[in-house]
Amino acid sequence: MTNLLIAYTGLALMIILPGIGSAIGVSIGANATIGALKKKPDGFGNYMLLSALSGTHGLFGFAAFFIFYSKGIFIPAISPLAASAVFAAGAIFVVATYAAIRQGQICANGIAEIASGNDVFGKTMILAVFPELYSILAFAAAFLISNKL
Amino acid sequence: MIVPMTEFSMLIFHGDYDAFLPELRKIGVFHIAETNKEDDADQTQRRQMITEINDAIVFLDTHEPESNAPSIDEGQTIPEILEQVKQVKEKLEETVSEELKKTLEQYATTYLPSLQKRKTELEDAYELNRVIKNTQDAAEGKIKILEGFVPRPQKKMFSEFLDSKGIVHIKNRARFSDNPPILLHNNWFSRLFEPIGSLFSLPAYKDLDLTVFFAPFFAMFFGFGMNDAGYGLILLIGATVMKLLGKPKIKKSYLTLVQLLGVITFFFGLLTGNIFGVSIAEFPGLSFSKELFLRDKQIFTLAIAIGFVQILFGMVLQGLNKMIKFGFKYGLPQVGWIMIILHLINMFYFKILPMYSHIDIYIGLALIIFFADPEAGFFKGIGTGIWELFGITGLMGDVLSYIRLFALGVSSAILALVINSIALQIEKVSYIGPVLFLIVLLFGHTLNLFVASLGAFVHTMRLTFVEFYKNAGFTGGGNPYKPFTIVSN
Repeated sequence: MTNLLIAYTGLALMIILPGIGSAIGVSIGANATIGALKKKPDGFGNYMLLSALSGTHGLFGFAAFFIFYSKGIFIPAISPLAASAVFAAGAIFVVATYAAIRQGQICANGIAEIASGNDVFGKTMILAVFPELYSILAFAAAFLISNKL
Repeated sequence: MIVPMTEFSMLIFHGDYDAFLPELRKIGVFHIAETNKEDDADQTQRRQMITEINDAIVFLDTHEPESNAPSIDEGQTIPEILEQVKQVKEKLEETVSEELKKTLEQYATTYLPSLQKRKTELEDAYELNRVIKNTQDAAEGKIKILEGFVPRPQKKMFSEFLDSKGIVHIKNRARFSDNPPILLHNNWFSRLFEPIGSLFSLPAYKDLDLTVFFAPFFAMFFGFGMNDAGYGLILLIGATVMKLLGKPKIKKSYLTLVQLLGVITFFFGLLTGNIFGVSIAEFPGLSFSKELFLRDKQIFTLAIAIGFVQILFGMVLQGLNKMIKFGFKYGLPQVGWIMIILHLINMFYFKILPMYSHIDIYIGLALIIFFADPEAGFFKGIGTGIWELFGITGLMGDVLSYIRLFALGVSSAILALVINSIALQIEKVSYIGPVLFLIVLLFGHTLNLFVASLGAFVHTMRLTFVEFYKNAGFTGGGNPYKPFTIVSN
């Protein structure tokens, strides 16, 4: 029973950790957008894309959740090995929490700059993807772990 | 490709100067070399006025009524008009009423033409003064000197024009140190990607224009990140429909780009066998095809392999560009890097070539260390070279960065799968099940298509501008070619 609990905790972490990060990240961007709309309303398309950027971390977590959940290993007789694998895969995603929040901050800066007439949309996008790499690596690692189950 | 520039220096008698400028403007190919970039008070004022008028135009444009009945303004001056528009704008922020909207519509029809006219006039005046300000005086103001650049294809025409006006001039090949303006000239395929390249930076004159070289990779990476034949079809069909409807607000070349990306995504989806989150091998009668599609592990390897290919390609470009533009020995460090990378790939992965010796690694190291900075002295050059060797860690990071292609593709495919399985669950609801099934499918796949294409686009941009541009030795920061011409054209 303890093994099953550990495995399910891992599963929950895959949603919780990146989810919290993405939720905070997108709202940082959205808050900046609302302020920027006063200065330059016609940039809404740009602001929205930048705000949406940090939403992907939560989706990576969810994709990982789906991979593990569809393995059919969540039975009372789950092996300790499998349970710890699921837990580790979930714990990795603490990376995504930070990456998403930081990404949201970069995007917010970009939005504020675009609103003051500084044409940095493309450059903000490139810079904002820097932290996202580590979420992607977390997902890739979770995927590789799942392949061994 | 960057269009090569020719530098022109002209000597003009001061009496002819005023008459000559309109002629120069009419021919419209001369880019003035700016020695003095600061605007003086007059120019600053003009610029501010242009911005203000432009804001008013943008604001009024959104309120322009459909029926464009032209009415004549009653002779207000531009500042008066701006003041009126500003007042309405402020009122509109407090309350929105029908009356205000009526006033705005009236303003839009009345003032827009005169605002547009004034804006063009101001812009013309600004450009003219910019040229005058950058003209140098010689011989106690008797002679004016104009320096600037003309694209080489127009060189002959411009030279003949100057001769016909009897103006003494010297023409030279533009040098890198003169900081010539950048004009890009590409074929139809890579021209589609120019807006993407300009999101980052224009190349410097000594760089290679990389648009044509990153274009095929860009399309391929986008398809890699989407990884679904169905989504590719939707992009293709959507862009085609928009094109046929002739939406005026979106540029046609953007739609062509989306069509192209859609086609690539379709074929990449076929390669991995995903269509709307369903594996093609699961269709009845097609199970034999399972062996044909790439498995996850193969996609992982493919992503890294593509990374190696693009980075090596970038290094080849950098080496060749340096050899052609500066001299043979300047490109040798890149040759060294390429030798080392190929050796390492062979050693760890292919193991095809026998390992008789590691002589190629030694040659590569020597090339990097001794030719890293050919202009410096012996010891300083070697110091720079040893420092350059630390680039190997960056190189590993660059290659591993391509794993994102794999993860993006897998996650977008899995999310599509999730949407399908939720829809199948919800179909079991009695009576309204099939309706809900359709709604979930439609809504879910639209959302996933949006998220996946945003992700694929942004990450492809990063791979292009960070990994590829770095290894291709791109410095950037060129200023665009802006000829002295009539603005209203």
